[in-house]
Amino acid sequence: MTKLSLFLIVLFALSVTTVPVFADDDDDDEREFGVGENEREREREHDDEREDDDDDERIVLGTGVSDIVLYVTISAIAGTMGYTGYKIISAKRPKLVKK
Amino acid sequence: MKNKHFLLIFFLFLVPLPAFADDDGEDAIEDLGWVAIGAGVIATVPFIAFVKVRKFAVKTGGSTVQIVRQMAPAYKPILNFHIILNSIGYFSGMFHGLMLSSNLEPISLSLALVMTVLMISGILLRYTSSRNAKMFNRLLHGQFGLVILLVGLILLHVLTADD
Repeated sequence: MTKLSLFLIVLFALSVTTVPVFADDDDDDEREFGVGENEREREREHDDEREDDDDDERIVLGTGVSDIVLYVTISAIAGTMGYTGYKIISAKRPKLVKK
Repeated sequence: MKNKHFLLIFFLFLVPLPAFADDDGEDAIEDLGWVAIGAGVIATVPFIAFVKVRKFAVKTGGSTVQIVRQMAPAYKPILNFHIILNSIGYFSGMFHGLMLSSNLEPISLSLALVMTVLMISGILLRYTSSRNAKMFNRLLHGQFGLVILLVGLILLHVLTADD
């Protein structure tokens, strides 16, 4: 095993072990600043409500007038591709000459 | 020589990065959208003008054929400029869209679709050797309807993005 691979393994091991330490930081901070359980729960509920409001404000795909633009675009792309393919096929096919 | 070209192309792809130097995150992402529009306009308008002038000169014939001959060596550099700048614009636009994907709406999605179709057809037109694929992509990439649709969607997107 080369020195480089050993160094990489040590670096990887260090990064894996230090991540959980930082992941716990938020809870420790809250405990230090004395944020109560009830207060924390209230904050969480408030955040959830805000997220629900944001979801309502977002335009949901599949409904509404602005979707017409999307449908027109998709059909225009499909139409253009079909027309292009048709043009190539019709140009290749030899024309029959009536006698 | 090839390494030099690679480096130049790599640095050109970094051009949109100063947009992130802005302090406000939202503004930086918005700037990325303007970079995409600017790059697209600068890359496409001179190229279309060049091709149209060349076609017009060939059609009229006579002394204008001399002009076409003089223009011929400039075609490849202009084409490369068109490809590189449009690629920068495409990736800027896509990053702009991905970073604001939480506000996805049908007009932005339509714009992304049209941009992707034009980009893929352009790449295939340049890099495929098959005759059929080249012909298909040449016709698709040059469709006037798709260009009009793209311009319309960009205008709609700019007008409705703040709502």
